[in-house]
This record gives sequence, structure tokens and C-alpha cells, in this order.
Amino acid sequence: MKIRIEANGHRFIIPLPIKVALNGVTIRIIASCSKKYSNVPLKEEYLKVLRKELINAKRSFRRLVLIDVSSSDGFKVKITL
Amino acid sequence: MANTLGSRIGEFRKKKGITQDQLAEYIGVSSQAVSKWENDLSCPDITLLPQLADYFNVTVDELLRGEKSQVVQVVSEGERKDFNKILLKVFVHSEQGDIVKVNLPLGLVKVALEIGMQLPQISCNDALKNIDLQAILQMAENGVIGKIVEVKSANGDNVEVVIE
Repeated sequence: MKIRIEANGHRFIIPLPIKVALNGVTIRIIASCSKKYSNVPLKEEYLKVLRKELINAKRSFRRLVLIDVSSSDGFKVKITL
Repeated sequence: MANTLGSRIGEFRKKKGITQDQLAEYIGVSSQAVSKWENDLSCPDITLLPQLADYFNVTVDELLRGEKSQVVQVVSEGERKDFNKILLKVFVHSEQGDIVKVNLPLGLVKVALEIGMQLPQISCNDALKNIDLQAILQMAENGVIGKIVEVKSANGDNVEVVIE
């Protein structure tokens, strides 16, 4: 997965391998953080299913642009599978 | 989508998993003719286009223009794609010039819904908060494909939801 952010003439590309971003440790961290700070509590088991589904989706749709947001002020965010 | 008629024929043929010989045999031309079409050295006869379109399960318009048909249709159970290979596309163009495009595999949408996520949380856009994903999933499961929602508001916002 790749996250590309463009703002004020600057461009960042963050490569984010799914298996690295969502491993056993990070899943626990995300689950505990979402419980404390988010209004959507993400349970560990849900995140594991999400990781599995993301990997399956990557196999079926290689380099699919999941989200492409571009605002009128030039801010752009693109998430590619 | 490929740019020329020949490349589209080649693309549809490969998607169907057949050889040039098999396509030639079905259409009733030589395999050299199919090869010439795909390499843009010649074009299929106009009378063969409906036959080709039917064979690839697309419209003649889609074959010629390379644009997906946006007409809503219900696909019969035998011809339906695997649920995980269907895409949900949401396109929002706001009056201020903000553009949001969301392409989500339905398998992923299903899991996200089970978790309790909604589109505004994924796309950070409140224009999508009233989209009932559960109903869209149900429609997709029943074989509905095409542009299922198109809203143009008075202040110029445009929202489209397509199952592909």
C-alpha cells in the first residue's frame, strides 16, 4: 500500500506494506488506541480480518487507487493498494 | 481501459482466457485476421461487432469507445462475478472544486461495515454520510451492477455511486 500526500508544493510518498503496517504488535496498539481515542472501537479480531481482506484485495486488484482526494486548495491524498 | 479497438479486443480476449484461434473460430474468421485486429493493422467488419460484443459480454458502445456502460442491470446468477472482485466506486465533485474518488472492493466494504466504519470515516468527506452501504452490498449480492446513484444538487455538488 502507498500513501501519497501533496500539499503546498511538497510531496510525500509513504510506502506502507500491509503485513508490516498491520502485524501482531501494531494491531494491539491500534486496538488499544482506538478504544481510548476513537469513536469507532477497532477490536483486534476485526483488524485481523481487515488485514486478511486487504491482502486478498491486493491480489485481486493490484495497484488499485482506493482513495483519491483532491481539494480545491491543492491538497491531495492518494491511497494505492 | 485500452485506447484502440484492437487493444480492447485483445484485452477482452485475455480477460476471457481464450486464444486468438478460439476467438477466430467462434467469429468465423481466420486467426490471422484476429491478430491483425489486435495489432491495429485492420478492423473487424461492422457486422461482426455485435457478435464480438455478445461474446465478450459487453456492449458495442463499450467495445468501440472503451467506456464502461453506466446502465444499471441485473446480472443472472451464472454470469455474476465473484463478490470479492466487484468494485464499489464513489465519486464526489463538490461545488468548491473538491474531488473525492473512492474505489473499494466489496469484500473490503463488507469487513469495514462489520467493524462499524462508514464512508465518511474512510474518505473524510461528509457528503457521503447518508449512503446506505448495507443496501448497496445487498444490491451487489443480488447481481445489480452499473451507476446506481447519481445526485446533482442545486448548489452544484455531484455524487455518483457505481457498482462495477
